[in-house]
Amino acid sequence: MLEERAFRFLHRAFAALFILYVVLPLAITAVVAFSDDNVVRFPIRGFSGRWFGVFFNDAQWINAAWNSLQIALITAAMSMVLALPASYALANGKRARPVLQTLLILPLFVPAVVLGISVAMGLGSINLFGYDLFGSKILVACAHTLWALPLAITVLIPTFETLDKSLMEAAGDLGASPLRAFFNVIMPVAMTGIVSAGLFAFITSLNEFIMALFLTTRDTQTLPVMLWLSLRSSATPQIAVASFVLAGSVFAAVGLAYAWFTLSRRRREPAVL
Amino acid sequence: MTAETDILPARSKFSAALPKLPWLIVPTLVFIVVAFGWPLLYLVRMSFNEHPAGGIYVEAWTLKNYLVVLTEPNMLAIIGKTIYISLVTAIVTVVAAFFFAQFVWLREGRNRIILLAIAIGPMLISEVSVIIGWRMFFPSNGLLSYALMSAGLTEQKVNLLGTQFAAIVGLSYISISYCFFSILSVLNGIDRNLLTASADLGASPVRTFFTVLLPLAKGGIAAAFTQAFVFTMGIYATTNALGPDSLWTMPYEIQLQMLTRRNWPMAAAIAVVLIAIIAAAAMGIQWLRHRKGSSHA
Repeated sequence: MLEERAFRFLHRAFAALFILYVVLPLAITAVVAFSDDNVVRFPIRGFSGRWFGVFFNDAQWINAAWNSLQIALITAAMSMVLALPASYALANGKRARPVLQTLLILPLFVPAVVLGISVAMGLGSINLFGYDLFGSKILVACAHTLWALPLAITVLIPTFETLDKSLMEAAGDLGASPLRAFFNVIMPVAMTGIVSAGLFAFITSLNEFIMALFLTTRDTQTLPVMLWLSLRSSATPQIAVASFVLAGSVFAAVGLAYAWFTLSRRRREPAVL
Repeated sequence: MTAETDILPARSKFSAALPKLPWLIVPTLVFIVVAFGWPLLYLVRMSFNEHPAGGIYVEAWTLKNYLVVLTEPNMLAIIGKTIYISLVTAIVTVVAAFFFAQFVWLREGRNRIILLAIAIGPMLISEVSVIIGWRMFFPSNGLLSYALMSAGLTEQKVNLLGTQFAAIVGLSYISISYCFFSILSVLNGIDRNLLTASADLGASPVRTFFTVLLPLAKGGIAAAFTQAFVFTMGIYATTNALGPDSLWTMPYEIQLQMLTRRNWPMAAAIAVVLIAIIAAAAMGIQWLRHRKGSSHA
């Protein structure tokens, strides 16, 4: 009995340590971002928002943040356009499914550095209608989609699998075209999964910086790429502010999606009753 | 199905064709071939090219690059270090993820949801933000040093930035969420009463852990280990920014050859070897698991 109690205590202490470990990097960033000091050091010698002012008045950082947002939105859109039909087909398919699903998930296990140089070498020299593919936001989004697509598919296949198949058949029997049936019948029921998948794709792209490092120029540089490149040269709390803004936008996106989930559930409940 | 169609002859062509819909996957396959297959093929082709002094590459069919990667002591040391740091990180990460997953598995209700939200955290934070966070924790003017001095545990400032310990702490952070959820999903399939039964029969907690829980969770542990190992093999930013300069890994060498030395064929050859090692490791773990599984049955 005593032994068991000791283990329970140890387990609790370990869990507390684990939580500290998870929270620490972001907590430090948040504290240092509001530091008034000229260098990053502890103890903090006073707090102010002045480094936020410096960050938001720096054209290069703001440009990088815009690039990140645009690339993440393109990635999310591309991933959804490709993942929705593919997941629907896979969820309803049988024969070739294991092979195809493995093939589509494969890029997730290829390191970013390898994907980055492969895409840069293989597609970087292409010129489409007088427009260089290398350094373009589209090419970065394509590379990011290689990671975002498998994640979206992993979320969407179980969503479509749990759907009642007779819904689609009923819509068809009532004369709806497949496209209309999909948008009017399947989409509303599967919306939670669809929003989650889009969110995953968006966040993956927003955070990724190794592929982007190989594929962007100074003009299309993303926020995390710029953070990585200024890691050693910048000693001021501005880098903590930039890092805080990046993490903050991810949490804002998650918060928005969560608010949407809660709202749509509340809206649906009276109809069910 | 056939009986149904006999009864309902009025079913539209559309719904009869519905269960197949193989063409829906075609655009995605085209994308994967163009943006993944072709670049990888190009990478393999590039690895056989030659690197002229002052240039990037000239077309050739040579094995010289692979010879360098697989025989030069310098390169072999890099491969060894990459595998070593990935193995250590994978072990540490799986152990930590397992005990936290077990902790969450035994909770319920609101506490469980809060713990799950915390466990998702590392998945949502960019690797570069994690690096920046730890770079304010480990150095001599960082939080760790300040905390230790304030607690009276040390007289002098402590610097852990640039050590293997810092590198493992940072690397572990990147795959820990994935490991946690792999293990938790397996634990969720285990009947908790088995633990109580084992205790009632007089087994000590340690014995219950090793003879009941661990064998049942084997599959999840193997999956988590594979994930952590595969992810860590491909990382260089964290290793480079938190670890010692001597910890020179394959992804770092790829990046150096590609961006600094402009030696594309060499970067490609190292990348191909890296993918080969990752694939071999993933398949090896899979094979080991199935062999052990069958010997038990």
